[in-house]
Amino acid sequence: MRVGDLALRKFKSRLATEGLQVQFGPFVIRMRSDLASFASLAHQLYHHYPLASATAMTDFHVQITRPRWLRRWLRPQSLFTLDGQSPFAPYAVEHALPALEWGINWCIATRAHHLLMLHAAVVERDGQAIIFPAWPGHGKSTLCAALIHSGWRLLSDEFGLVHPEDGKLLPIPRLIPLKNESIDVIRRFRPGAIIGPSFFNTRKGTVAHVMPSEESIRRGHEPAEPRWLIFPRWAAEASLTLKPIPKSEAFLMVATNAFNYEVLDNTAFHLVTDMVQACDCYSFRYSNLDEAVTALNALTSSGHG
Amino acid sequence: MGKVTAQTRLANQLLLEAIKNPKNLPVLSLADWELLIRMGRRTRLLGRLEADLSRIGLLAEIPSRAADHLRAARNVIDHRNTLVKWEINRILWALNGTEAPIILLKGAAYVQANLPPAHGRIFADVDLLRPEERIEEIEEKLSLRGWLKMQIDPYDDRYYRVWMHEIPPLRHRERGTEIDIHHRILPRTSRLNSDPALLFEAARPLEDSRLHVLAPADMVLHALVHLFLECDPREGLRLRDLLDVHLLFQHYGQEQSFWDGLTPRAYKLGLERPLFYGLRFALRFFDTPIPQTVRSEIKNAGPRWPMLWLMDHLVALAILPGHPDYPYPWATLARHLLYLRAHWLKMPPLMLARHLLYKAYLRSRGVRGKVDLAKLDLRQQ
Amino acid sequence: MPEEYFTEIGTTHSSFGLDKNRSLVLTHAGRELAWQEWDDVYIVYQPSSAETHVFNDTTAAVLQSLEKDVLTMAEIGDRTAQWLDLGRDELSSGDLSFALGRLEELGLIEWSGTAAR
Repeated sequence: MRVGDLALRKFKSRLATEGLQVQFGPFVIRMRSDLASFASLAHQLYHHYPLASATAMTDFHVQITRPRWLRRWLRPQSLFTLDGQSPFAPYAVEHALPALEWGINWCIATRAHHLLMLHAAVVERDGQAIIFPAWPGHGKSTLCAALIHSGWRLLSDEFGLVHPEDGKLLPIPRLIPLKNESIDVIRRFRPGAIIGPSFFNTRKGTVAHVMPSEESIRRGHEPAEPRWLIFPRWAAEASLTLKPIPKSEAFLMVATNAFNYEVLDNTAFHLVTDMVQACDCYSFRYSNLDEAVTALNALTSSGHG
Repeated sequence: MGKVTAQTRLANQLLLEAIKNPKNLPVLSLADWELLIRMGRRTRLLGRLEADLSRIGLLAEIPSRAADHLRAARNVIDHRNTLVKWEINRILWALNGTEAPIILLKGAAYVQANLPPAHGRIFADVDLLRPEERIEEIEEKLSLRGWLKMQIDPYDDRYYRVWMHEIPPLRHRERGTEIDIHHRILPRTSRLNSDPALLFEAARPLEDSRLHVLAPADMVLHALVHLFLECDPREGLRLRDLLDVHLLFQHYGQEQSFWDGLTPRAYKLGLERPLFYGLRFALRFFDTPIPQTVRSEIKNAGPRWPMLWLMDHLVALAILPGHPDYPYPWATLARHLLYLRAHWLKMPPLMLARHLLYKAYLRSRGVRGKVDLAKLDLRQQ
Repeated sequence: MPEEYFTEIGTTHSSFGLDKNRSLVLTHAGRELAWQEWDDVYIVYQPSSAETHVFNDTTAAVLQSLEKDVLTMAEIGDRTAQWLDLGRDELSSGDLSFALGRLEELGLIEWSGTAAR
C-alpha cells in the first residue's frame, strides 16, 4: 500500500493521531502532524511512497506540529520533534514540509552510522551508478533532477548510502529540494516534471521539491554498483568539459565531504578506496543541462568510460 | 494521567530489564524493540545493549533492523574510544620528561584500564587529575606541542579559574578531543569538602607506569560525585552514569577488600552521602549485589526521613527516561530540582544565584539556544 | 603543508637537528598503517588515531626506510634519497627535517630509547 492509496481524509486523520509509517529507502519513518496544510501537501508529494506494514519496526518517530506554548498565538509555527524532543528552532507554519524533510535528513545523518554516508547524489542505469559528490553551490541536485527525467533511476539526492559488507550503494529516493533559480531551470528542462510548491524565504532561500519517479521509489530496495565518480560544477556560459581527475584527489573529495567517514574508521577507509579504485573519476563543468545529459549518456554508454 | 503513569512505568521497566537481563532480549517483540531503541537512544544506552549482547553471543538473535541501530551506536563508541586512547598517547608524548604521574579520570580511566564501563558508552573528553601546583607545567608543555586553550567567554574563564576544580579545557589544533585538567574532584566552593591529596596518595599505576587511575573506592566515589553533581537540567541525572557506578561495584566488588574499605574511605573523603545514594539507587534500579555489612555501615550517612522520601521520588523520576510518547510533567520538574540541588552543593547561595542568572541571561539571548535546522551542517554532527 | 607549520615543528619545538647520531624507530602506530598509493600520492590510514593522512613520496620513503631498521637521521636521509632516485645533496635537509617532525608529531616515529608505546 502506498501513501496515495489512502484517501486524503484518512491520511490526514492517521497523521494527526497514531501517525503514518512511511518507507524511505532502508528507513521507516513514523510521521505525525496536526497541520492540515502540511497533510494535503504531504499526501501529494509522498504519493508513491510505500507505507510500511503495521508490524514493521520504525526507525525514527518524527512530528511536525504546532508548538504547544505561547508563541503559537503570536505567529503560527511548525516545530520538528524526534521522539518528543526538539533540538531545533521552530519554522513558519507554511514551511512545515521542508522542515520535516530537513529534520529527517538530520535523523539519518546523525544516527545511521551502521552505514557509510557519503554526501552525494546517486543515479543508476543497468545496475551501475554515477556518484555526484556534493559541493555547496555546485548544482548536484539540478543535474540529478535532470538525469532522473532522462532515463536514470534516482538512488539518492543527499545521502550516498554505502553498505559496509559489499560496498554497494543503497537507494534512498527522497524528494529533491531545488533552490532558487534551479527550480525554473528544471521546469524548462522537463515541463512534465512534478515539482511541489515553492517555499519562499526559507533560511535556504526559495525551495521547491521534485518528486522522484514512481519507478525509483518502487525499486527503493535495489542496490547499485559504484561505477563513476563525477564532480559536477555548473557555471553560466561555461563550455562543457569532462576531465579525468587523479584518484587521490577523488578520494580526498569524497572522504572529506562524507557525513561519517571519520566515524567508521578503517571500514570507511577501505570502502572509499575500493569505491575510488572501481570508479572512473571526472570533473565535469557544464552550463546547459541538455548538453550535460547527452555528455553523461555518451560517457556511460561507451563501455570503457 | 493514569495512562501516562502506566506507560511510563512499563517503558522504564522494559529498559531496566534489558540492561539487567540482556539474555532475555531475543524474545522481545518488535514493538518492544522499537520502544527500547527509542529509550536507549534518549539515554545513550544503545551501545551498552550492543556490548552486552555481543559479550553473551546473542547479537545475531535479535531483529536485524534493531541490530542496525545497535551497530550504529557501537561504531560511534569504537571510534570515540580510539580517539580517547590516542589522545592519551599524544599527551604522554607531549609530557615526556614530566615528573609525577598523570592520573586519568572517568572515561579516560575506564578506557585505558579496560574497565567494564568503557564497553558500550561514549566518553567525549579526556579528564586528567594533577596536583594544583603542577598544572601550569603541563598546560605549558601541551601548548608547546599544539594544544590550544579553548576560547571561552571571560565569565566562564574566571568561573573555572577561581571557583572550579578544573582549568578551562584544552584542545589540539588538529584533533577535536578535549582535555580537562582537574586538580580536585569537587569545586573549591563545594559544600562537600574533599581533600584531593588523599586521592593522589592512593592512585594506582597502570601497565604504563606514567599513567595512574584512582584507587577502586576513590574511582567509585568520583563516579558518584559526577553522577549527582554534574547533571544537566534537561536530562536530569544520567542513568548511564549510575550504570557506570553499578558496573564498577560489580567489577571491584568481586574482592571482599573493596567492600571492607569502601564506607570508611567515603567518610574520610567526606563523600558518605553520595555513597549512600549511590548504593541505594544502584540496588534499586540494577539489583547490584551489595553486601549486607556495607548496607548497614552506610545507613547513618543518609538524610532524615522527609528528605530521603523526597530524594527517592525525585531520583526515580529524573533518572528514568519514561515513554517518549507520553511525557511526564513531574519528571521535568524533578530534573530541574535535582539540577538546582547539584548546584546548591557546588557553590554558596549568592554565587549560585548569580551563576544561574547569568546562564538564564545567555539562554534568553539565544547564545545557547536551539540550532537552526536549515543552516545546520549535518556533517558537523 | 603551510610554511609556518614547518617553522614551528622544525625549529622551535622539535628536538630534530639537535643530535644527528641518535636513532629513530617506527612506533607501534607506525607499524600498523594501511596504505593506498595513487600516482606518487600516498593515502595512509592510521588505525591507532583514526586519522587519514596524505603523504608525499618523501614522507612515504622515510616511513618505508624505517620499516626494517633503526636508523639515524643521516641514514634515513641516505635511504630516502636512494628510494626517490635522488643524489644525497638533492634531498633538502629542510624537507627531511619537516617530514621527520611531522611524523613524530603524528606518533608514527620516535627517538629510540624513549618509552615506546
